[in-house]
Amino acid sequence: MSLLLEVIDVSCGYGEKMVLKNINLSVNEGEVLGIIGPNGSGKTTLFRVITKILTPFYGKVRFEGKDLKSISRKELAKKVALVSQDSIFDLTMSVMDFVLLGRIPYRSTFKFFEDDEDMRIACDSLSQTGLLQLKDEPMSNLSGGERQLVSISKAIAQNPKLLLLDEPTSHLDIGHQVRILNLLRKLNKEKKVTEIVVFHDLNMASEFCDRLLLLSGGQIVIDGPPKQVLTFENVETVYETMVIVKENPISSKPYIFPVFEEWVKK
Amino acid sequence: MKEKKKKLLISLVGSFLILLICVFSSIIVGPAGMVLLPKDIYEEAILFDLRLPRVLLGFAAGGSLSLSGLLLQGIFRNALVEPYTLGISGGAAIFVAISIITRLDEIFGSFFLSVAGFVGSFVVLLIILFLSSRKHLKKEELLLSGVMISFVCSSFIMLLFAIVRSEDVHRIIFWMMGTLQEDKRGMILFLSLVSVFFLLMSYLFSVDLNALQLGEEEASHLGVDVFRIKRILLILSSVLTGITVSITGIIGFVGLLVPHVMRLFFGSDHRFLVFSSFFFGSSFLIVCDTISRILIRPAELPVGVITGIFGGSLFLYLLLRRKE
Repeated sequence: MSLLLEVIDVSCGYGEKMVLKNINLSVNEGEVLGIIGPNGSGKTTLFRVITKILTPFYGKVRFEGKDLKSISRKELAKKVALVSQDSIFDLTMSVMDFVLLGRIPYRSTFKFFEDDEDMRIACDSLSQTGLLQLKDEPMSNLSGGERQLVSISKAIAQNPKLLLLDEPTSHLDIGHQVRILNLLRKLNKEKKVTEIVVFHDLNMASEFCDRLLLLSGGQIVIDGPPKQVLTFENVETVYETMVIVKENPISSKPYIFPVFEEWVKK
Repeated sequence: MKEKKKKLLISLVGSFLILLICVFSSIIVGPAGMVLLPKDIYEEAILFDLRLPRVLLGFAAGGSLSLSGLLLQGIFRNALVEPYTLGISGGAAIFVAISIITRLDEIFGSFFLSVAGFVGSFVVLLIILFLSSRKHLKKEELLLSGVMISFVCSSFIMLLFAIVRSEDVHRIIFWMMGTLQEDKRGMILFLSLVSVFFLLMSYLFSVDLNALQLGEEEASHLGVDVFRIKRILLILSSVLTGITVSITGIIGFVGLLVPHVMRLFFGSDHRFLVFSSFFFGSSFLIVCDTISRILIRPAELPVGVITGIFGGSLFLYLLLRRKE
């Protein structure tokens, strides 16, 4: 297994405000890493650093051994794709056209239209998310869950080595949540795509990932397998709320139950 | 893919055919009546010295303004932006007003007004570029800065109106209303060449503009150098607007309306919008100009009045007629 991504001693933020402090992280090829942490802990900012939207104040990021600074945006877009939380959809666009946007990094200056190869890849990524039959529908006809799947299809069409997903299951019903996580599993197993996923739902994170990174206040609290990370001490300190941790009988991964105030009194 | 090339061909050929029809009908129709084949020198002069240059200027100015509007709406992802929103026209207007008041145009000739207009728009362009070079400035703030520049300019012109002689005010207002009446062939030719060149340049960025519609961060994730593209397109559209305004004055509404009409027909894909907006903008302005010349002949209406009334109602009609 070779090293894909290294974040070395990165501190970063906006203006004067430091959001990430001394982050060290390395991700191997083929890994699935979950990032958890309270709101404002720097999860999305970490993604911004990895995708070169933000330049770190200190430290550096390496991708495939190369400094991120020396990789052009276009080259990076062929290797790293992001499914963001608040995608903007042009609702008049067809599903196919939207997914084809993922082929933009592969276009040369004077190539204005997609070739057969682009079409094949776009169809392929739509069939992976199971939406191929919707390819000519306008985006406005799709449900929230389907739109999220289309976003993922667009990212797959970029043919990335590393796929970043920012809360891919939030606002979705449990059926769609599981469908998306199954899809991500399949991509990881079959296409060897490395995945870093931000989760708000700790239990989804626990079930889905073999390695979790807990962020708090811009620093890494702990980085390890779910059993080590999701202890009630860790969760209670970071989230400032009482919880009970039990084991999922099937996967034997930790499962978090919240404890409400009235129960504490009893 | 084949469908798209077909769509491009339809958008290109369609808008170009409309343009040809408009050009042709505007050349044969005018205040002096129909002239199809010139029978004498007099009619020849009407065709080639009066109508043809005017149609050519309509082609260049209408196309430039529409293209500029399309690019700016694309960069800012805002449907209400038009070529004059950033204050390019305001800068031009101040400099032109000052030249009229100081009688500089009488000393150096009417050509001087165009020079003054261009210098004015160039000054604003520099301010805009300076603002856009600050990375932390959000695009809404840049837009707002442009609106503020516009307001400062128009207030300054109001100030001039308040203190200068009324005949000067009249001349300034007439310049500001815009006209395609221009007797310097060289300038018309210059604008035509520049606008066509910029049109071809803009097409190179049509896919980047499509990516930008997903938001700036998303576009970056697709490998688009957002900062660079935005600056290039900002310069392209501002220079185009600046040159146009300095030759024709401030012809309103074309740059706002035409891109929207084209979106109703071709959707939001800039690969189909760039050429069609340019050609349709040309056609639209040429037709409006012809109407403005024959409606109350022998007098002439300001073409901006026609673009507003005719264009606005046309757009409302198209919007309401569109099927759910």
